[in-house]
Amino acid sequence: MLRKLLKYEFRATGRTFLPMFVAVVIISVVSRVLYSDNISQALQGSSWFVDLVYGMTAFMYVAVICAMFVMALIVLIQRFQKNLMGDEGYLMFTLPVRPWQLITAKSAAALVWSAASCAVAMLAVMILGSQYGGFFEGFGRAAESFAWFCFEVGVPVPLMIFEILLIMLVSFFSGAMMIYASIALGHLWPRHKNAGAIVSFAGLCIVMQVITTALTHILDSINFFNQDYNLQLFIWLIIAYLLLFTAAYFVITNYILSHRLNLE
Amino acid sequence: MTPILQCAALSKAYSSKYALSAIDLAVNRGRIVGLLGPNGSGKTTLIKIASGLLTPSGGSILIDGKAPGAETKSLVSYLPERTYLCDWMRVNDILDMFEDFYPDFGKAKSHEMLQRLGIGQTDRLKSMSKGTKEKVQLILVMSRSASLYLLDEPIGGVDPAARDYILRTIIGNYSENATVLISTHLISDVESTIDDVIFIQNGSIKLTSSVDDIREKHQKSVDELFREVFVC
Repeated sequence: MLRKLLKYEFRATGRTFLPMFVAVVIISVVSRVLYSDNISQALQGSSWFVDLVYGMTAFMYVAVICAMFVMALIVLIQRFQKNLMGDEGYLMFTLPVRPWQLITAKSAAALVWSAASCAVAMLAVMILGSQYGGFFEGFGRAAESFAWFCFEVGVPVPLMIFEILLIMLVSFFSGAMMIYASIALGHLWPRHKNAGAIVSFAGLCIVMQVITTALTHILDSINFFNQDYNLQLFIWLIIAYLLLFTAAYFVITNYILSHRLNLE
Repeated sequence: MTPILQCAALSKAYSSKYALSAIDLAVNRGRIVGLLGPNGSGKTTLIKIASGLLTPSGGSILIDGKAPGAETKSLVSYLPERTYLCDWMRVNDILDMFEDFYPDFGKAKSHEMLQRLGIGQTDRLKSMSKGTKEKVQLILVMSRSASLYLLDEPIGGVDPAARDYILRTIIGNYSENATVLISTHLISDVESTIDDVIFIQNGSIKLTSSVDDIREKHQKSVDELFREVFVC
């Protein structure tokens, strides 16, 4: 059933993301052509219209990439809010599936689209940057610096890359689950459920902040951050910490959707 | 055989107001049952609790002996009183979705009904009128071979010609052991279709009876008795 839910989730969201990805690539290619040395030198400053086109292209390049990330966040919220807690929820909650499968399908699809958005943004930077000599050498130098850093802290490069990707993954899920839990908590309000979701989100942020501060104080008090502190241990503590929050938000959301659902 | 739907002291409160107050009810298999009551009497609330969309405040409800959940949802075919279709889909997308999730969905049956009502399989749901969307939803619901059909106001929003077709569809499409629960206040339209009636008012069951008993004992039609019981 989870596979089927994922199929429909991707179909529902793909129609928003795929045209956006195409737009980012097109505007990147147009920018790359317009800003290539030969064309740029020949055209720029020739007339006010050409300058306007240049200005507009630069603006569109930045705007479309920003819009892609804003859209990823809006879709994450809307697919939960509208498709589950709105009228469409009358269909989704009468399918023979369990609430945890609905939550998992929504968050997994959102993760894939967010990762794809990051990949498309990187591609856009590469398309535009590829015209500049030394652009890819810059990448090479950055990679060397990263390898040097890994050597300095005594961690193999593949392990460090794996840990960074894992932190990004659990950060995404903790953020997504926090939003889902806020919407679910807002659903418990008898009226003004959207306001309830916003207040719940603020409440969860405060709780998370308080716990983070308390934990930092504890680590400080046991001299964890002394000069030769264990970076590996610290990274895995962050991962465990984010996983705990993710699990807590998931449990809250699943409990409300399973035992406190009231679609009105 | 256990009743397909059982309620024991089932209650639902919104803030301090009771939409259902401690109702006891048993609906048997193989019957077409009219859930009849004026507006705001608790018909939709009862159906939504049985569908798992509302959580009861007290008491219990069992579908085929089980509390509402993923298992009962595969037994229940529910028609809500509102549109739940995803706007981005075409008719054949939603048919595929029902076929994917409900093993009892009969696609051929749905094609036949769509053709009869003049709805194209590639029509976009977004551009349909409210009445056409309601027809599509009814076709989806009645194309399943479910054990329990919960139809909330299935004929409220459609024209009288389609109303007759829909009622004929309901009678023609359910199997011997299936139960159809139809909530409506258009009693004269459903009177010839239903076997049993449940009268509900202010969240309480006023009367449960077979239509034959009403005619024999009260010497009245269901419509006449309804007007008498719910006199304003």
